Order: sequence, then structure tokens, then C-alpha cells
Amino acid sequence: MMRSWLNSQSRRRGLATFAILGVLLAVAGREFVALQNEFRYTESVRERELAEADDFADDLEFTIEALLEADAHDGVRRIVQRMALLENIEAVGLIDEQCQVIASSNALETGWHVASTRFAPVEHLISAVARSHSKREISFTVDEQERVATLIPVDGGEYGASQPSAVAVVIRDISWVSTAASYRTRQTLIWAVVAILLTVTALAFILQLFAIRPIERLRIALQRAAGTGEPIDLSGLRSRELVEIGGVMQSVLEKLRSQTARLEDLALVAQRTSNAVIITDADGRIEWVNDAFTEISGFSFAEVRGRKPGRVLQGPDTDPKTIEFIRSRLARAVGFQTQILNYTKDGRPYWVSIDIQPVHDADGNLCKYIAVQEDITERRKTEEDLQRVSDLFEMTSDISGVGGWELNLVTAELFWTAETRRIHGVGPDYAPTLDDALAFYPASDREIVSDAVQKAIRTGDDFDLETQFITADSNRIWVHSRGRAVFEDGRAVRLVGSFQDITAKKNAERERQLMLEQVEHSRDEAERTAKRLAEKAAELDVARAEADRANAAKSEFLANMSHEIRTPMTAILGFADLLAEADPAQRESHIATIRRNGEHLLAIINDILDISKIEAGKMTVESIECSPIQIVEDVIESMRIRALGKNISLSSTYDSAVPEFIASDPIRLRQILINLIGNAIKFTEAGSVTVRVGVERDDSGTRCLALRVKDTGIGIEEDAIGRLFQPFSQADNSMTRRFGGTGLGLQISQRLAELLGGGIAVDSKPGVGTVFTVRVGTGDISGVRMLAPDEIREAIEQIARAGSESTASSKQPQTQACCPLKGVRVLLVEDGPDNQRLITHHLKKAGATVEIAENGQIAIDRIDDATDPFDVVLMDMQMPVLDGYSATSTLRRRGCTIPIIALTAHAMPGDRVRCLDAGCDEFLTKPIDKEKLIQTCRLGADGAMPERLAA
Amino acid sequence: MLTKTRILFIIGAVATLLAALAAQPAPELSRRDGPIRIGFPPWVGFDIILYAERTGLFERHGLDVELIRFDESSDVARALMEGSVELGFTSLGTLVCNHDGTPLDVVLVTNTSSGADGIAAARGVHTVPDLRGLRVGCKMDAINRLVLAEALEHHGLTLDDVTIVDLSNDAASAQLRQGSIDAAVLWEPKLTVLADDIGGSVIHRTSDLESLVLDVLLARSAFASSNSDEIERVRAVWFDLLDAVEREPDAVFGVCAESLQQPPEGFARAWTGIRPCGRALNARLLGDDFDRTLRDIAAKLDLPAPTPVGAFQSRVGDSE
Repeated sequence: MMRSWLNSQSRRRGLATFAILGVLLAVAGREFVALQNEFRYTESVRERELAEADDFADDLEFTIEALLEADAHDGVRRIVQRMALLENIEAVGLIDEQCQVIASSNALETGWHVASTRFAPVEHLISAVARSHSKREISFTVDEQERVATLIPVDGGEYGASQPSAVAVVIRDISWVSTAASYRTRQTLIWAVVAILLTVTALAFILQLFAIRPIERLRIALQRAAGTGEPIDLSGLRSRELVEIGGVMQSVLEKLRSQTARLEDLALVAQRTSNAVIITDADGRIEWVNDAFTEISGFSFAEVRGRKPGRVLQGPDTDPKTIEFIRSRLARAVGFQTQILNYTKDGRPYWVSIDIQPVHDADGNLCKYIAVQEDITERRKTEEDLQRVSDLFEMTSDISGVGGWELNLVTAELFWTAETRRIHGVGPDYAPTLDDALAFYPASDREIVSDAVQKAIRTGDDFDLETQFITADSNRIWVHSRGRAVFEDGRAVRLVGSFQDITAKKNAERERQLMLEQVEHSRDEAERTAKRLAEKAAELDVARAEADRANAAKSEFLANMSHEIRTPMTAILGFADLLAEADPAQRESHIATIRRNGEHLLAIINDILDISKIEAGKMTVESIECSPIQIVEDVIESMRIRALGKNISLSSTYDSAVPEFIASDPIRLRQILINLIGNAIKFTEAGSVTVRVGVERDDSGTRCLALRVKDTGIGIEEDAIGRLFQPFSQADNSMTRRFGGTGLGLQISQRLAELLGGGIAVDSKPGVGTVFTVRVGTGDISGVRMLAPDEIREAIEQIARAGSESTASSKQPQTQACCPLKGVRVLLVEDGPDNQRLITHHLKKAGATVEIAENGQIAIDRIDDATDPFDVVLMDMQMPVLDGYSATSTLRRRGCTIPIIALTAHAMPGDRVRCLDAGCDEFLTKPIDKEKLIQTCRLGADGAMPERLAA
Repeated sequence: MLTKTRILFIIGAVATLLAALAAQPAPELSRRDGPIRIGFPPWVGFDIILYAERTGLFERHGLDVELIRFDESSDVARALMEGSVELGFTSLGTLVCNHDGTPLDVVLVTNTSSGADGIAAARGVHTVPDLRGLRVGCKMDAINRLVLAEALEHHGLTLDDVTIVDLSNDAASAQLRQGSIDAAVLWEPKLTVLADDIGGSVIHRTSDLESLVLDVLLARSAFASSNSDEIERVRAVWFDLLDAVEREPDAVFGVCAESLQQPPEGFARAWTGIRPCGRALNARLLGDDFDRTLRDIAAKLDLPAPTPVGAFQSRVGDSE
């Protein structure tokens, strides 16, 4: 009935039409009312806008009048401009009766005639408003846009002097009112049409969607399901009621169909299964068997029908306990499963797994049993074989200590044999996982194991690892693990492998390795010791050779020294003996010989002292301003007589630009030059000796003074040059014997040159000559004048002149004054009787009066007690009771101003300074130089001592 | 053939079309469509814009412009912020005194003052220090205040050292003539004319110091962002204008003076007191930190920190 109602198309259309028309009318009515409201609203807005314009004009009039009354014309102009800023005000102006713009919201219009401004549309009303003195309002359009102008007469100030005065004009833009109205009306109409269209559409859609179309679909689905037997198609239905109806119908139909199908399936399963199926009645007598039963047991259904299965199938080896178990279960009518040995019709035993379940009727009464038997003979045999293999594997593992493992790569299950578990230290209940297994390895080895496993899976290569391992009991052991991937269809499905504890083997290997290392270490140590001993022995050999060489050199040196000292000593002593016996004619010659040998002996002793100081590292040099030209020329001048004695020329040459002064030690530099020039003269038989002076740069780029002493002498063999500067060694010892001298001069010169910031170099050719080059530092000569050749020549001439004058003056006393110390009172403070006698002899011979004091204390007393004061004190510095230093200091403290001349055998520069510090005025060394002694005493007596450091 | 679906589709399409029509934005009812309104106060640096209007420069650049002249620069600033004009010429000092927070962009830096602003003083007042304790006419919400503050500070005085009478330029001129005040802060050409008329002197000009008097063309930021093409054209007009002044100054000043009913020589003389800013200078100044300049001005005027002002970034570039 319902289907027929729904099939009525005219009813559906009527329903839809009715609904749509109703809604259409409602929407149209609503929009009509809205349209009416819009018209009313627009009109009211326009009226309000005009009223606002009127109010604004009134306000403007009031304001302008007030400002005019206050004579604030600027204020009028500004208020006009400000007013025009208000919304919808287009222009504001103040126009006089002659239509001239007095003020405008745009100041550019001020002063212009109204016709050329925005106020032109109201020009014709200006005069009328001014005359009538009443407000006017006018509408007009600009570019089709509506404007309203309000004109107000304005009185006040100078504009009010004669009636009427001015007119204020406000132009207001109200075009927006009509624009807004038309816009809103159009919007309302459009929205009305849209609303109607959408409503109609929506209604039609809703009816179609929720009523008409679902009912039609249900009808079609029912018809199709009834005709074909297929399920009712409810997928397109959204109506809950219709879906429920369809659902009930569908469930009934499906239930019926499913029950029928299930019964058919069950019958088919029972018949076709490979398992034997037996159905018995409640007493256990066979009612039905399937084909598989006959196939397994060999009995046909006809042969077993009505019989009990046990009677037919059980045999002599069937387990009685199992039979009893089955009976007890059947007696209680409960289901069970078991395994039992049956026999076929021809007596062959076979194992079955049997599942027997009781079947009850609707009232709960037992009505039958269903038994399903599965032939498991092969399976049991396989299981037994597997068990045997497994037992065998466990036993062999136990014997060999090798465990086994298997990892299923699909399920990630890990299997360990008993031996593997034992090595791991876990019990039989321990269920390992792959992560657990890896955790037994030390962290450092896990990646190795994991990589090996991954590689085996990836490449199929076996892996074979020996790693450390930590058992569950925390024992650290070594294990040997092997593994192989098993592939199926080209894919690794599992890993199998062996596992062995190799700790004992590893320990044995490590001990062996340790022993080997110890042996290796011992051998290395022995080799190193032997090597060190060899090196030490070599060093000792070198040291011994060096010591031997030094000893030999020193021995030879001592021998030379002995010879050198003994030679003049022999001469001195010998000629001293001869002197006693000589006649007056020979005496002078003997004395000269004794003196020459004495001077030679003194030179030897000075050289020995110098080399001793150098060797001891106590030689010091000064750095004072001195003239290199002066030094060179002085030395040449002093050596010239020796050169002339050998008929050798001695001269100097200068490179251009020699500094006027350098900072050096002039005494030492002089000593070096004397030595080198002396050697040159000594080893030159004929020819010349030349000294060349210049400034050059050394290897480090520093400027230095270079003095080259070149001779035309015998020269030096190349292999002998290297020995020239070695201490206690000479180029050729035979030289010493041939030419005399200690051979120390070059060594001293070399060391002195080094102390002066340079050195000495030698260039020699045997038979041709030798050049000794001395380089010494110059100090900072950046501000020192560099002398040109002319200036150098002039300097040399000056030196020569000074030298000749000095010589002349020094000779003068000797020739003119036989008693240079005549009238001079000298106190000689000396403890040695020989020296007392010698010095007294020299002084008295020079005309002086001499008193002697044996020590410092006596000297002080003599000076204190002297009625006739002494002119000079000669003070030995080392004396008993009170030495010269203390005596001099005491005298100076007491105010003694007598010149004190130190006499000492200490001839070092430091000794001189010490004497001067103590208060001495001059310093003389022993042995006594007679001329110098007399000259110094003379200077002291004349009060012309050059220096006194302490007073 | 029209199926039900097609009919529904057609109805839906028509409704959508109508809805789209109805959804058009409503016209801006209170704002008439029309020319771009540019406000400017009486000032020689701005008055030359009249030349552009009189000679059709705006039209040649495709612009429809209405020039509105205000008597006071502060009124220009207010009109701009209230939306009564789209663009406004004023000075940064005036803006600092009047800014209500409306977002604004500097479109152009038109000129810097180099002597055109100053203080005219009555007979007997010869220096700025002479102003101590005297009455000075000064529009306090306009650039006059900055000019006075700079002058006083330059001579070690402050605004408190003088008696300030807050007057518009016209009122200040009138009162100085009457002798009711002793000095007035004005600009050319009125500055020199007034000083000569009363027998007094100009005792300070912006050229006496490094002045912060900086004149600009401003736009509301909303207008500038939605009308950037028009802004670019206005800038082009301005630079053409400066080129014209450079090329034929007499013609330009003549046109402007005639429009303002002023003698052209006074216009030309006043022009010498400013330093116009061309394209290159604009590129540099607009790249500078305007906020810092504003803060400096506010500090001189003893005003709180001003609202920041943006700078219009020209796409054309200002290389000359």
C-alpha cells in the first residue's frame, strides 16, 4: 500500500508546489516591507542632512559675527578654513555685497570675484540675501552631483558698518544621500530575488533529497531483491525510517539464506574432509561415517554401521589407559581430545588424533556423538625422529662445548640450545630476544656482531667472530660465534649458527703473547743499553782525545812559556853577573841588554795575564768615544821605527767616509793593531806593511770598522790558518822558535775583537803575504760626521803635528832639565825594601826629597806630623798594617789634598778604578817605568793631575 | 534537455551572480570622488606649487589636483589628519606640535630653511639675548615655535626666558606694528618687509645655525599605500617644478606671485632663504631615520616623544 502511495507522482508534485508557493509569498512580502522602509529611511536622512546644513550655517554665522565684532579678521579666515574640514562640507566662504570673496576655505579664492570660484552657482543670490537680511537655501548640481548651498547674512565689525554687509555661504555635498538611497534600494531588490531563488531551490532540493528520491529507491530495491535474491540495496537511502524498514526485510532474508547455506557447507565439509568423521547415537553406535574414514581404516560404512568404533578399530597395542580415558569421558557425556593407536581393517596399526564431542537436542538430552579422527602416524614418526636428532645434538653439544642458535628473521624469534644457554649463564626458562642476545656483548663489540649479522643476511656470507662476552653471571669470557643465513626464494628467512666458549684458548694465547712481548721488550732494552754504552764510549773517546789534545797543547804551551821566560831571564841574570865584572865601557851595553830582556819578559807576563783573564771570562772592554784615525795613526807612528829597522815601509790608507768617532775601547783596539802590525813586521823580510781603514757592513747588516793589515811576508799555509786562533796552540811551533814570542798575541787579539763586537779574519798565500782583517763594532754612528778623504788627510796631519809637538815637549825635560823634581817633597809609602831603594833612587836622581813610610798607618802619621808638607804621595796599595786603599780613604776623609799616586802590581782596568775610587789621583803599575814615574810626580807636584774621582 | 539537476544548477548560478552583485562594496558615501586635494600654507617653499597648477604640469602627469591654501600650516596638518585633504605641505616642526597619531608618510622633503625663517624685532632690540623678558609673538603649534626655540637655545636662553604671545603670523605682524609685542617669529617675505616697515631688524635667521626646520609633503599612509602611482606622479611634478625654477626662475616666480597677488621680486628674494631638496637629497633624507629627526625636534620643543612617521619609498628612484 505504501509502495502504491509513493508511486503517485501527482501527489508528490502537489506537495512540492504547495510548499514552494507558500515560502515564495512569505519572502516576497518581507522584501516589499523592507523596500518601503528603505524609501522612508532615505527621505529622513536627506531631511536630517538639510537640517544639519541649516544648523551649521547658523553656527557659522554666529561665529563669524563674534569674530568680526572682535575685529579678528584672521580668525574669520581660519574659522572658514576650519569649517570646510567638516565632513560633507565642500566649501565655505564669506562674500561681500560686491561679490568679492573675503574669506574662503581655499585661501586661493580669497580676493577673487565670486564668479571665478566655487561659489559661482549662488552669485545671483548674494545681493538678495544681503539686502533681505534673511537666510536662503538653494540646491544645485555640480557634475550631476547634488549640492545644497546655505546663504546667511553676516553683520558685525567693519562689515556691519552699513547694512547689509556680507554673506556667508556654506556649500554642502549631499549627493551621497541619493547615491546611498539608490544603492540600498538596489541591494534590497537583489537580495530579495536571491532569497527567493535560493529558497525555492532549497525546498525543491530538500523534497527531492529527503522524500521523493528515497522512497523511489526503496521501491526499486525491494523489487530487485525480490526478483533476484540479492541483498536489498539500502546504500542510497538517508531516511532513517526507510532504512529501518529495509533493514528488517534484509535481516529476515539473510537469515534464511545463511542457514540454508551453512547446512549445505557443513555436509560438504564432513563428507570431503581428509579427517575421518564418525557420527554415533547416544550409545556410541555408528550412524554415519564419511569417505575419509573408509580410506583411513579400510572399513566401509556398511561394515561399521550400528557398531561401536572401539570394537572395530582398537587392537592389541592400543593403550588400555587411553581406552579407559575415552570410556570415562563418554560416560559423563563430555567432549575430549586424545591420541590413540587404531588398526585398519587389514590389521595395520596407525595413530590418530581423535576429537569427540557430545551433541544435545533442544531439551538438553544427549542425542549423539560426533568424532573426528586425524591420521597422525607420519607426524608421530617425524616427531620421534626429530626428538632423536635433538637429543643427539644436545649430547654432542654438551660433549664438544659448542652450542647452537637460530634466529627467525621473519618472526624475530631466537632459539638457543642447552649449551648456548649454559654459556650465556641462563636457565632453560629464559626466552631470549635478539636485543637480549646482543646485550651480552660488551658495548664496543655489539656493532661488530650486528654488522656481521647484517652482512650475512645481505650477502649470504658466513660470519666467524671471536669476541668478548659478558655472561648473565657477569663473567667476562671470550666466545667464538659462527653464523650463516638461510635463504628462501632469494630472501634470508633465518640465521643459524654455533656458539663456543673459547676463554681458555684466549687466555692461553694472551699469556703466550705476553711472554713474547716481554722477550721482545727485553731484547729492545738490551739493544738500547748496548747502543747507549757505545755512544758513551765514543763520547768518552772524543773527550779523552780532546783532553789529551788540550793537555798536549798546554804542555807545549808551558814548555814554550818556560822557554820564553827562561830565555830573557837567562840573559838578565847572565848580564847581571857580567855587569859586576864589566868595565865601565861595557856596562851600558850590558844594562841595555838586561833592560830589553826585562821588557820582553814583562810583555810575556802581560800576554799570559791577558789570556788568563780571557779564559776566565773576566776580560771586560770599555765603550767610549774615540777616533779610529787617531788610533791607527798613533800605532803606525809607534811601530814605524821597527819597520824602518827592517827596511820595510809601513803606511795607512783610508776608504772614503770614515767616521770621526766611534764607540769602542781605544786601548784594546790599539793592542790589537799593535799585535797585528808587529806580527806583520816580524814575518816580513822585505816589502811593505799597509793598514787599510774603512767602514763596512757585517753579515747581519750592522756597520762596523774594518782594519786590514796587509803584509808581503812569508804567508801561512792553509791548513795552519785554522790553528792560528786556538788557545795554547800556534800555527807552527817552529815559528816560535824562529821568530820568538808566545804566540798568544793572535788569540788575545781575536778574543778582544770579539769583545769589541767583531772578529779577525785571515787571508794568506804562502810566499805572497797575509791580510789580517779586524772588524769591530762602531756603536751608533748615525749622528757622527763621516770624514771625506780631504778631511781624513787633514786629521792625519793634525795628529802628526800633535805627535811631533808632544815628542818635542817630552824630549825637552830630558835634554833641558836634569832635575825635573827639584824641590819636590815626596812621601814614598812602600813596604818592599828593594822597591823603596829603586824608587828612591829614581826620585832623588830627578832632584826630589824623599821620605819613606813602611805602611799606610805610618804614612798617615808622617803626613799629620810633617812640618813641611809633602808635595806628592806615592802609595803602594798592598801593605801590612794598613793598606794603601784604607790609608788613602782615611787621608781624604781627614781633608788631605796632597796628590796621591797609586803604585800597584795589579795592572787591570778594574784595579785602576778601585784606586781612583779610594781617592787616588793617578795610577802607576809595577814594574816601575822611570820616565812615567817622574812625569807623573811632576804633574802631581804642579797640581795638574788629569782626574780625581774621589775627593 | 533540461534535467532537474541542470535546472537547479542554473538557478544556483543566477543566485550566486546576484549575490555577487549585492556583495559589491558600498560606495564611500561621505567622500565624494574627485581631484586629489593638496593643502598648503602661505610659504614661498610651497607656493611654487601654484606654477604647476597654472601651467598644467599636473594634467601633463595625468593628475587631477585641487590646491587648497590655508592661512596656517597647523591647519594643513589638521586637515590632512582629518582627511579633508589627501596631501599636505607642512613642516616637521608643525607636525610634531599637532600630530594626533594618524599614520602619515613623508612623500617629499621639499626644502630646508636657510634664512627664510626668523625673528623680526622692534626698534631697539638688536640681538636675540635682548629678547630676555620681552614679549614675542609666536604661533606655538606651528614651525614658529621651533624657530624661536632654536634661536633662544643658540644664545643660551630657553622659551621660559621670554614672554610668548601665541599669535598667528598675521596677528603677530599686526601687533608688532602696533607695538604691543617686541618681536615676532615670521618667515619671508613678511619677515624682512615687516622689519623694514617698523624700522626694526631681523635679529635671527635660520641660516644663523644648523636648523631642524625641514619642510615636507605628507600623505596619510592609507592613501599613500593605495595610491602609490598618483604619489609617484606628484613627486615627478615637484621635481619638474624645481627644474623649472632652476631653468627659468623669473617665469616661475612671476606666475606664482601673480596668483598670490604679490610682487615677484619679494617672492624671488624669499626663495633665496631656502634650500630646495632635489631628487638626490630626497633619496638620502627619506632613507634617514625620520623618527630621530622628529625626536630631536620634540626635544627642542620640550614635547613628549612624537608619533613615528613613515617615508614613502619611491619605485622610480631619486637619482638625478
